[in-house]
Amino acid sequence: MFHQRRWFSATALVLALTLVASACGADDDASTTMAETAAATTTAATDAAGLAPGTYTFGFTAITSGAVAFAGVPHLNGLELAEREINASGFLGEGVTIEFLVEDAGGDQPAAIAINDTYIANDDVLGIVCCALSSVAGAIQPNIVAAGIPWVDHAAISPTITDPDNAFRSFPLSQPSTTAIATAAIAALAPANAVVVVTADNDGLLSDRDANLGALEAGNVEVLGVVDTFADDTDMSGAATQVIALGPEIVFLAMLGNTEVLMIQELRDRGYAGPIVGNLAIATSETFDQAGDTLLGTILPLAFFAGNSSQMVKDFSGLYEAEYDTMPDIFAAQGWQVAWFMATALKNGGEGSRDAVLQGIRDIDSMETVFGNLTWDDRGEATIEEWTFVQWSADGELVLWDGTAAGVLPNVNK
Amino acid sequence: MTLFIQQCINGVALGSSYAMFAMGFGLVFATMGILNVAHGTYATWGAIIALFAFTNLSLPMWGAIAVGVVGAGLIGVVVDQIGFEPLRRRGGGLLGPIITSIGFWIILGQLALIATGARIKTFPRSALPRGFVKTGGLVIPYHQIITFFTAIALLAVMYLFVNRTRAGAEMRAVGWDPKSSALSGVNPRRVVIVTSFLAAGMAAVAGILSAISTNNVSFTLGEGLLLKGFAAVIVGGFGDLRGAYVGGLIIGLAEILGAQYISNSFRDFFTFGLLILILVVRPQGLLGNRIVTLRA
Repeated sequence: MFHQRRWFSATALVLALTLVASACGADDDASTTMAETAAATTTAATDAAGLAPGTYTFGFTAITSGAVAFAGVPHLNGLELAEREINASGFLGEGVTIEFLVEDAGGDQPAAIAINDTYIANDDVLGIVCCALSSVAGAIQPNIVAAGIPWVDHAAISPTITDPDNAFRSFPLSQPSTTAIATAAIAALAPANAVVVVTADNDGLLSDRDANLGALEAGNVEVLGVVDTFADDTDMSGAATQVIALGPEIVFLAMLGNTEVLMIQELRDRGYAGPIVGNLAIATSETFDQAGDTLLGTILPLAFFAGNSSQMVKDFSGLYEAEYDTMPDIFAAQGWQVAWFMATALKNGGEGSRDAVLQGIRDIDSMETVFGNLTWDDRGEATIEEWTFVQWSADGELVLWDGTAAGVLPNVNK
Repeated sequence: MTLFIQQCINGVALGSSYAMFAMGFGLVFATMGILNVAHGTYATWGAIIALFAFTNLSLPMWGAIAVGVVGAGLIGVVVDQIGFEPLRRRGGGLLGPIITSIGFWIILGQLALIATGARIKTFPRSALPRGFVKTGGLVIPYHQIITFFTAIALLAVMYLFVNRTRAGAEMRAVGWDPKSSALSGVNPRRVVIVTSFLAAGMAAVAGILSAISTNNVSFTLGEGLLLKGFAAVIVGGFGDLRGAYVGGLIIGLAEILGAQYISNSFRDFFTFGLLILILVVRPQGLLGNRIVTLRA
């Protein structure tokens, strides 16, 4: 009987351990998928010996307060979630973990400079992740370039940030998406004419305007007019009336989020029934809260779409929602992506030095990400393989646009 | 022609917002001699408080608006009593109150940022007047109609108040000479408190209607009204409510018609160019007096 008890106890113990192991394995499926994918799909020159066990540190300049906190908070959420997943998955090797030091600059340039200077002075910091604002990126750029520390921009859209020496971007700029969706809309809807509306005191949106005009010219679409608006505008009645008076078959918007929402509302409230092509600035849930069904019939491009069928996106979205009780947006995806990007660079470099991380970044030619497959050019700019085109549904959800005229959801005036 | 009329309607509606804001702005200057740059924050806070009352206290829209107006009015009183009253007692000039108002502008703006979490807040769309009148090719949204008639009603009420009531007479007396009015039995401090409340309340009406029109309550809501409202007071004339109203309409029309028929890019140039022109040709404003007094 004694031996039977021992046998039963041992069997029970083995069974229990097996159950625990399988449960843990199920929870880790998502991070295992991402770790495996990240390892398999990057161009890597990993040293056979790998990284020595220990914690490798990077500096992150956050914006969790101030006017841009709406983007900065999900940036940090995505980054910290990825940090945990990278360490839990063992992506960097046995006993190797990554750590991001986080300081909030609140979007203030002097504060950001001070924070980044402390990172530069800290020999343990192997690289810097910043920024959410182009103005902040421009402010910290001189000191970072002078120090030669690897710098990866995770969200700022200024085209002058990247530098093959030590400044890179971990996500694709949105400007190319303007050309992509404009071209797709023209091909699908075959308009005879169009109007472009632009936030005329924003450099990036002026570039978007030019991209729209280029696509329209290439598609032999007559441009009836370009209507200028400004970032501080709170009334779009006059501008919307101008647009409608021109009688366009399609309207392209190259505007900041708040003004773009106002313009769409005014156009629909005043009876405009044609399609509208917007940008990713109106892809937030607050947009639908504000404008409601006036958004129907507006198509927009996204680099990241939580409803994407990609397994990596599903896994990320599931983890994010479980952790933060909300679906991830483009900002969360940017935070998530830069953490994996830095981890990949660290692994490529094979040792804990700034020069090794720098080389590790340069070794990343392509990477499968939550944005899809990204490739990097010699300037350190990321290019996306394929943009996702979406539109708002009547239920307040973003849904895919299939690229056809029939696929554009009918708007309130149709 | 239809386009011209349509844009005039847009200009008048926009100008009505500026006018409501400007009336309060001018009232403060005429009565207390203060150029209060924090006035825009009253519009912001009026909208924030109205939204809070609607969504968190479940008040009906009219009740929420009333709470927003009263709340902003009280903020105006607090700012005056804490910031400007001590300066008045010491007999300060124009500069001290301006600097004080800048401080309150920053403080109230930061508090608004915190209150909104730097995110745009919205009313439930079902609660908003989303419809329009279509006639003769013209499209007039309900919110423009509401804004226009509210501004007229506000002007009428304030005109009657200032010109036909004892309190209004006291207000005019204090605006003319506080010390003399005190000798005549007027309580200047009470008059100032009432004026502060009314001025902030009017700014709140402008802010709330702007928020309802765009379904957009943000911490920067009042910023867009401040400069244009100030310009409206200059054009119309300090110390004259009718002037502030007319000035608001002129600014709104100049902005919309300038963008339509001259240039979108230079519309602010024309708006503020008009301001400078008025200052040069008629410095007291279209309906103002040379000596700044409170007249309705």
